[in-house]
Formats: sequence, C-alpha cells, structure tokens
Amino acid sequence: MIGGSLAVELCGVELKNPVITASGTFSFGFEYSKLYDINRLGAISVKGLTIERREGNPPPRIAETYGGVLNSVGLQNPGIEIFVRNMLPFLETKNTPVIANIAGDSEYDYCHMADIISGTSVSFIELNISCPNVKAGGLAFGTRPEDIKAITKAVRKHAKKPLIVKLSPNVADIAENARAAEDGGADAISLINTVSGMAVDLETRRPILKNVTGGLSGPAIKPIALGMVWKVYNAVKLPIIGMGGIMNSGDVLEFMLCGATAVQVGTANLINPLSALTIIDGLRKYAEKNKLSNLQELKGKLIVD
Amino acid sequence: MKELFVNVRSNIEIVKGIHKLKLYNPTLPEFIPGQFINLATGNFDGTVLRRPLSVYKYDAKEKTFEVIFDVKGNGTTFLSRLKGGDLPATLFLGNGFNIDDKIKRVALIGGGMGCPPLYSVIERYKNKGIRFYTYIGFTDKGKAICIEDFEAVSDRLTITSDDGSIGEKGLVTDAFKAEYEKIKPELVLACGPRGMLKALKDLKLEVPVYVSMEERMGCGIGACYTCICATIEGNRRVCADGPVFEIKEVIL
Repeated sequence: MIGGSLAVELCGVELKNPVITASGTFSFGFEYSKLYDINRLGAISVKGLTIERREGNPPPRIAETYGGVLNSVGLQNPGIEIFVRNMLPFLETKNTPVIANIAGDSEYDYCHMADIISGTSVSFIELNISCPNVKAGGLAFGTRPEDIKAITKAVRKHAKKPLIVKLSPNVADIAENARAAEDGGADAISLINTVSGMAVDLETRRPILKNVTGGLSGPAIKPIALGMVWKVYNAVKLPIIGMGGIMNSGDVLEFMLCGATAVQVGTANLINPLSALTIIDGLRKYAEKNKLSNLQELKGKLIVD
Repeated sequence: MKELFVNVRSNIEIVKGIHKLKLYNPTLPEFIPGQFINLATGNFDGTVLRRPLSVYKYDAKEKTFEVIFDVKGNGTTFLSRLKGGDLPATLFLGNGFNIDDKIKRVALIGGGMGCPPLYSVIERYKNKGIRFYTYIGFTDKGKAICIEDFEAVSDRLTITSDDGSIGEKGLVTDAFKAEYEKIKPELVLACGPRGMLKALKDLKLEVPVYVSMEERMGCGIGACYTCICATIEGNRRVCADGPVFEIKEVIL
C-alpha cells in the first residue's frame, strides 16, 4: 500500500515509508525475511556489489566500541552477475524497491555495473565511493570533489535508474563533495558512510580488527551524521538519504528536520533484527499524534535561531 | 529462528569468572545441538552488539535452556549481574551438529568454553544407543566446567589440563590421539580454541570430523558478513554457514 502519512517519493519512485535498510547490514534481504515481512520496508539497499566475487578482509572484522561498531568486512560479495541471477529473483517476489549499491576499482567497473543494473528490476543505483575498508576503489573515488564529479558524470551516462551517490564523512568538506555529486548529475545523495577508526585490545596490545582500521557506525556517530546532513541540505537541492547511528523513530525525525527525505537504518539491524519495523511503527505513531498528513512536512524544518 | 524476549530464571557463577544463565520463553523454537543464541546485554555502559552464546542444556518441556559464558568485558559483566528480567534474543541460530542414525560411536573433543555446546549433543542423542567418548581440556582446575554433567552422560570421560591441576596433564588432543585406536569413533565432534582445532586437524583422521567455529560476530543471522572463517570454498559466515563445519573444509 502506497500513500498515507509515511509515503515518500524519492527520485520519482514511490516508497511506502522513508525507512531503507542500509547496505552491508541487510545482505540481500533473505535472512531478515525469516524474521519479518520485508515488504514493510521503504526500500532495501543491498550488500555492496563489485564486478567479480570478493572474499573481503581477514577476521576479526568487527569490534564493539562505546556506543558503536567498527567493521572491516571489505566488500565481501558474490559479484554482480551472481546477484542478478541468484539474489535479485528473491527480491523480485517482494514489492519493496531495491537499491543496488555498487563499488568498483575503476571508472570502467562502475559504468559496467551501472549498465548491468540498468537492465534489471532494481529501482535505484547507489554509487559507493565511500567504503573505508578496501585499498583500491571505494573511497579512492570519494574524497576529492573533482573525482566525485568525474565518477558521477561517467556513471550518469550509463545509469538508466535514479543515481544515488553515497558520501564519506572522512573528507575535508562534505558540502563541497555533495555539490560535486550534484554537478556530476546525481539524483540523490546518501550520507554518511562509516567513520574511519580503530580499536585496541589492551591484553594483546594489538588492534582488534585484523585490518587494523575499520569503519565506525552505530549511535556513536549520529551527531556527526546529523551535522553533515544539515550542511549538505544547505548546499544542494537534491534529495538526501540520511544515515548514521539511527536507532529509533526519534532519530529518523531528527534527520528529517535536518533535511533528509528518507533514511537508512544499518547498525540497528545488527543490534536488534526487528529495528527497522519498530522504527516504522514509531514514525506512524508520531505522525498520528502530531496530526501530520505526511511526515515530509518535517523535512528541513529545523529551527535555527 | 525467532526474535523473542527470554526471561532470566537463574544466574549462577559455576566457577570463578564463568556464569551459567538459565533462560525461559514459552514459545522457544526447535533446537539443534550446537546452535547458539544472540543475546542482548541491556545496553550497559556503551555496549551495543549482542553476545553470541552457545547452548549448554535445552529443555523442550520446561521451555528453558542454559548458556555458559566467561566474564570478559562490559557485555558479559552486565550479563553476570542479572538477577531476573527479560532480554531480547535471536534464537536458535546456525546449523548445529547432526548425527546420522547409523553412527554408534562418537568422540567429543572440547576445550575450555568450547565444552558446553558438546553437552547439548549428548543430551539430545543419549537415548539413541550411541556411545559417547568425551575428552575435555582446560587451562587449569579453576576453569574446569561441566565436569559432573559430562561424567553422568559420557560412556567414558577423559579430562586434561595444561598444568595438571585436574585430570591428566597435557593437551586434550593428545589424550584423544592416544586412545583413538582403542575407541574407534565413527564420528568426531569438537569445539574449542583454534590451537586445539588445528591440532585435531593435524591428526588427519579418516573418520568425519566436525568442528564448531568461533569469531567476533554482528547480526548472528548471516546478513553482515563480519564473522567469517576461511574455508577451501572461500570466506564463509560462521553464524549462518556454520558454526559447525567439516574440519577438512576449514583453513586453520
């Protein structure tokens, strides 16, 4: 059912609600579908895809920090062809829009993947130029504005689906990078990817992650994410998908006040597998209680004195 | 697999620093020995992730099960202080140990905190005419757990410790190796530290050997790809593809 107080239009695609499960925390939807009806989600951003299958980084790949989670998975995935052949058919039995998150080693990789995805039922392409856990690719395209503009412009020519550019917080000026994505022809911006960081095991005097550093997510990074969403909202006209430490419906509403059209929920899925549902229910209750005909009325309505 | 609130029925420190929680829910799903749960800690002192804990005992009639854990950091410290109440948990997770109907002689090899899930195997299969030869090893007497329970259900129990303070002094895998020809197991199931599993793999046994792997974990259901273990087929998820793997598949 589309419509009602939570419905949102994102780049011409109708979502039942603004809650999207974030790439890397939801695999391809199959595991969570054993616990709840994933049709209730606004959209699903699938695990980051690359041209070839990737094994990712050695373990340990996860460490808990105060209020946060560090990971160094490193884009382990079956490769885009296997996704289209073996995972997408399952998602096609659902009526939740799919976002294909793609990461490459070269401009050619990104464009080639955009071509492949353009010929499928996937609703959006999310350009992952912000993964902190891979040596080549990922973040290599996502720190300097000129690189962001160039890769966005190149992929734009191949993408026959709305193009979301996912930005990294590990940069000098997030607003400038968002403008670069806009100039390159992006249809939406999603932010933030994880914050680069590390954790140390005092007993062994070694980093907990085998990869030494990783990406921090979870409630610890929410203030960083909110601040960046607000900056980007004031810099570009594109719709924003906000993410970073969202744990409950109140967090979502804060992101919307700061200018987000929709949000992604990531680490919360790991903390409680039912998080996305609880958040959607909370948003509905808030809309009813505050007599909002649509939650979008809150977008960008932050009061700054 | 279900997401449920489990009620804390009891919390006992079985030896110093190691606790046993008894948990209850009237709608517990089916359990396969070797499966685990992903238990929330109550968001104590900045902890956010759940703690994956293997199941020790499972009582289908009483709708209870027990987990044993070492008090290591903030999460397990919180769990060790519980006196009651409800905690969210996802359960029961992973593939578990399975024993074919034709198998009559099984060797169990456990090391330290790896012993509890092996008990759930005997508990499930003890009335099926299978002989269980159990070998459990600990660093020292102070960390030796579940001894009486294993004694009660095993056809033969061998205990080892690194310092000789309980059982034979030495490695549990050496004790097993010494008796292997005598007991002639048709199947070997193991859970314990990596060094123990490696020593077991190095024995290059002809009979099937299944091991339960451990890794730092996130979602527990196969979605986040953090708890992988290297196998001959590439990196696989401990939580969803395991935790039980055939030893010849695992790169140790």
